Amino acid sequence: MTVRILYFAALRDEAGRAQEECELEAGDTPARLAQRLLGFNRNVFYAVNDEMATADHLLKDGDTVAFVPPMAGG
Amino acid sequence: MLIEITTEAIDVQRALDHVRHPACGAVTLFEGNIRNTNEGEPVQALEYEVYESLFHNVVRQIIDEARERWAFHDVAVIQRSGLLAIGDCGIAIAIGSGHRREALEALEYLIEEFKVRAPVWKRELTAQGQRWLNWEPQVRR
Repeated sequence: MTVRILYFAALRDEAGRAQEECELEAGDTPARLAQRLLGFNRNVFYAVNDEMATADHLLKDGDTVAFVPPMAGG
Repeated sequence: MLIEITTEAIDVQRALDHVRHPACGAVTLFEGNIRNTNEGEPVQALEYEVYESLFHNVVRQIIDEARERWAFHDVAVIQRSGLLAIGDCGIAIAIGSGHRREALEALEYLIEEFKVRAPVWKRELTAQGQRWLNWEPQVRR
């Protein structure tokens, strides 16, 4: 059971990587993965399979999870 | 509907041409251009990063929301990615509608929503260095 993690912009710079594969644990959510992989909880948003998702979205095998810094569109 | 991401200079005319139609008495256009200062400090350039597949989904969603509120004919969104110089266009949004009120109000809605929901990030380059906008660097625990 794995998920693919994508890092963008400032988060990618801080993490030192653009993507990685990660083992999924039972009950994992984007917020739990962020805590485990980044070592801290930041003010970030989450996307799962290219759709915005909540922090407590229940993840499943094969999902792609993006850690998304606050947007600066326009 | 046109939603496009490009690393080349945005062709604003293409956005306008896309939404022009005999049924449209009004066409509105927004250009988001690179300013030479930010918070009073000179800016040399901006680097735009776009999460492309999410961008398409989020922009479509925002346009759908606008369509529920305003009856416009068509919309074009062209987003720039990569390194931009002062004066370059970072985003162009055009709307065509039968009358001006719909085109003006829907355009403002899109601009405001894109600002906080479209997955686009900007790295500002100044004489002092570079920094991501909307982000406070934090020391890892």
